[in-house]
Amino acid sequence: MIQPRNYPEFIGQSLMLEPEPFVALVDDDNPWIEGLFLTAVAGVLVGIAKLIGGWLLTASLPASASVLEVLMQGLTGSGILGQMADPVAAQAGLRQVINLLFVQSGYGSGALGLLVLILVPISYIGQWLYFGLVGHGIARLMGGTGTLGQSFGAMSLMVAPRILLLLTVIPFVSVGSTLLLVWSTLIVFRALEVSHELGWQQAAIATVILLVGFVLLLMLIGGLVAGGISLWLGGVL
Amino acid sequence: MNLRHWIPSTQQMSNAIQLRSEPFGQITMRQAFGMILVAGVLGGILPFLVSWIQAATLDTVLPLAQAVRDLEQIANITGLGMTWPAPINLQVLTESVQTLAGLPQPLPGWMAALLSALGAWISLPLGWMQLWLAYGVLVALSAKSLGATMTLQRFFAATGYFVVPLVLTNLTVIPFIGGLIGGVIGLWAAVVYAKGVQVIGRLDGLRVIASLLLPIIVVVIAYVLFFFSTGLMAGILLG
Repeated sequence: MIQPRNYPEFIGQSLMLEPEPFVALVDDDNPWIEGLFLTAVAGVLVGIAKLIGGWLLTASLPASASVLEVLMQGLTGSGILGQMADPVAAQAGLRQVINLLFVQSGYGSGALGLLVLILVPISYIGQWLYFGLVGHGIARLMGGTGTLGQSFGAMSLMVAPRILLLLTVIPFVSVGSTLLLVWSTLIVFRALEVSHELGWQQAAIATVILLVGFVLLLMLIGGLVAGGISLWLGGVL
Repeated sequence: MNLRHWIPSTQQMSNAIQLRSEPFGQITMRQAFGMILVAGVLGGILPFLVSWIQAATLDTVLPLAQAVRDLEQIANITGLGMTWPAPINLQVLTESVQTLAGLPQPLPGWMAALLSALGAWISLPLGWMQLWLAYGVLVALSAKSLGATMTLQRFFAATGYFVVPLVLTNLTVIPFIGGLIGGVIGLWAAVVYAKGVQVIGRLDGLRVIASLLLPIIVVVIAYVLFFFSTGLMAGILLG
């Protein structure tokens, strides 16, 4: 059984793509429970960091409603929106986009900001489930030998790069999504390679298939969520 | 925890930026990671102080202070007789940003300035890390397809030395010549990176250049295709 005090070491080693943490999770007596716990702990920690970062951001900037009004007045008065085919619709659309950006960054979101404490761990667990389950299926189709539990255990280390998001406790820190995506993908590659004893080419192909599926799924969910929020902010819902 | 596990020796770093081959094979990915963090922290000290002072002078956060400064500079250029290309009322835009910067925030101005400058400082090594990994994966794939023989870990380890010249980013805060210094430092970093690819991949000069350029060409083509297809779809949908 893996002790939580070993998590920082595991995370550090998996960031360096070293095989030891993957092997330890694969050989554990209950890998999927360990994986779920590690993912959930990371999600809660990142959620707390984002919440505090959002509060500090709100305290560092003027009231979001005033900022929005000044921004809209400036954009309208400067003639930027006047160049659009339908300036009124463009203004309404832009207002929604800016509002979404404010909410997403935790700026002026008030009590709504507390949602990150739930949403971040849920999102991390959802991604872990997708990569564990679908990754296992693809790896088995390619001749992999690992069990479903071992896949879930090894795949949980893909949460390691997101530990960098703890830095967002300081407002204006920018952790690039490309950095997180690429690093997580490399860890997924190593997880498939180790847990299923696949060759590097097979592991790479499985990773690419997994990633393409994930991006498509993300676009679908993102589109649905953005559409829903847009309708809500627009007063349709 | 032994520090030597997390960062190479200064002699190794010195040899690497002088383009000697030995250090590129003697570094681990863990050391490269530690080196990027340390270089980012060291390289951002002066820009942090300058940014903090700049933002604190206006009692606001760094992005707003920078926007005010940039718009004022553009206004100065247009005031010299150069025309602003787009039909945008620059004065209204500048006044709006100045108004935003003047709005009160809950925290004292110096504290808001400090937090935002600190955020920019911490983001510096993270940005370098992103370049190291995201561009690195593509370069490694190109190099592999051109005959390089190395593991991904060895590749990331060797190419990590590119951050050593970037410690001089501190000098980019010097007025007037800061941009030029930044360009020279960037070029030096690129040459160190190329040396790393050459040594660890055992490639000749032409293949190294091809490995470095192929990812850029592929990404540019992908972007062009994406925007072209998006524009085409929007055009079709909007009639």
